[in-house]
Amino acid sequence: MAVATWTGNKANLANDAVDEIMSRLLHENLYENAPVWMLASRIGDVSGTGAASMQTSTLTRGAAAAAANANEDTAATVGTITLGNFTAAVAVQEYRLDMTDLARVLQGNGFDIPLAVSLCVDAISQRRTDLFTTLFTGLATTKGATGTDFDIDYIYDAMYAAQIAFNSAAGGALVLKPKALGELQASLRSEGGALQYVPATADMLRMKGQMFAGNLLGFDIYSCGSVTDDATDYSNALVFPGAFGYVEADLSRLNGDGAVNVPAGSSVRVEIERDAKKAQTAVIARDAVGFAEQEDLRAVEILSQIA
Amino acid sequence: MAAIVGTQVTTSPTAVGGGAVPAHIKARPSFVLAVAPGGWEYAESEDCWLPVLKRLYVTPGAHGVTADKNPAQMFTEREQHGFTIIKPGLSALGKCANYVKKIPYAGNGGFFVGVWDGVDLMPGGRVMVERDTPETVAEFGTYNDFRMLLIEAGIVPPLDPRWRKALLGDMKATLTRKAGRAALANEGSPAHKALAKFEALVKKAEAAGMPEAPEPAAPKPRRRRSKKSEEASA
Repeated sequence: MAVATWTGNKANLANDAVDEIMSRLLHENLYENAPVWMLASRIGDVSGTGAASMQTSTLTRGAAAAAANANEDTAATVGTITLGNFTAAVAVQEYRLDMTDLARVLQGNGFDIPLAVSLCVDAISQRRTDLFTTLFTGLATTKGATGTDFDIDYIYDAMYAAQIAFNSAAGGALVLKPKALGELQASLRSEGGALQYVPATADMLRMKGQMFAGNLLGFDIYSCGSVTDDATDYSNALVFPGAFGYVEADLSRLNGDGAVNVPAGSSVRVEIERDAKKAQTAVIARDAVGFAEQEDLRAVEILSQIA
Repeated sequence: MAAIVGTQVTTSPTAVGGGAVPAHIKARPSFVLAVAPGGWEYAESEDCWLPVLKRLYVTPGAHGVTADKNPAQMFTEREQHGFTIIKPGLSALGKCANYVKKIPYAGNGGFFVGVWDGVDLMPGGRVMVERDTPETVAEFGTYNDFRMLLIEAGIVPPLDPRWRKALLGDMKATLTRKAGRAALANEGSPAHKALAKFEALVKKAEAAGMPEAPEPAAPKPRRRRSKKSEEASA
């Protein structure tokens, strides 16, 4: 279980009038707020099925008919229905914060149970993003090159590979490590000709979140620190809708035991446990979720160096 | 099938100074290496084509990995896509048979890296994970040595000539694009330098081969019937 203990620290508290005012304000430091897991589709709910995994069938359309034999006695050739499947397995993810009574009283405004709940729910969202980005290394199509900076050429390579596999020419999203995003911006500076790069505006940030970086060639760009690396290269990706999905087990079915779902209606379950003996309150968030690759050809991994 | 990863990893601490990776650094899940069917690249330093090793993370809740870290479903689906899974513990890989190592970590979850990766605590609380440090090379050889060993030991099938042709085709398409970009830029610009560098790389890649794969065992020569027995049967 992920546990973070949060206790009072007298060294941080105010000891004169001016500091007392300052201690009642809260500045939130920078952090990664990139719920890019929302690029995955919700496949379904395994609640009440008796299984922690959900297998989904896949079907490939697109076969073309052929001319019938001129001899009308010859039977038509039998076609094939191309079926496959993928499986998503649900696993419980959890995060806990412990707060002592003294910390809650001394730290002042805002430092209380609701804030701890909010932090726990953030941690669950962050975990979902981590699960989502670990899927990128399993993609069969890889572009970019090991040991090189991210380059606009890599986007073209990925875009062409995606188009060859019948993805649409736009509508996907680029999920890039922040360093790769910087390299892409540097690469764009030396790009000649008209290129459709639309930097994120305030309105777009409000809609798409803090880590939205703009739109290039019809692809939304997200900066995401959860992108994994293998000690040499980052595993960025161009993701189209339908590439990845997730399955949930709706913990809200457990209503009646005192826990609440945060946000309301979501499957993230938050419980608050009071331990009077220790003068301490624990806040625990749990999420039963499983991410899976739905269709490999709908996403392309793009490598770029970490050094 | 029991969980593979977690039982076969080494746990020797290699963090510099013998300390643990601090809790504020994000955990790194354990993984199994795999090669995608067309997952090859021209490695300039070795002047040959080598497989690109992908890390399939054994994270409960991703890729069909269950709560008890069983990766069987992930392996099955990747194999259906033509991946070659390099399961830990293959004796042919010698010192690198168990190629995942667990680093002492103060946070929740694990901190797993490859045996070729050195982990160093930098001033300011950052952690650097770097491949092929002098210490890891002395103990396990280089990452490229390992990639070559995979072919030489017959664990990863050699690069199919059709894939090689397709990969070279991709490189040439990129070269054409770079040439188009350079044509719009001033002489001596970064676009020209990138073009010249990439052009040289494509030429080398076209000429380069692969590490030698083991030859298939020669069939035993059929024993010729002796003249005497031929005469007798006649």
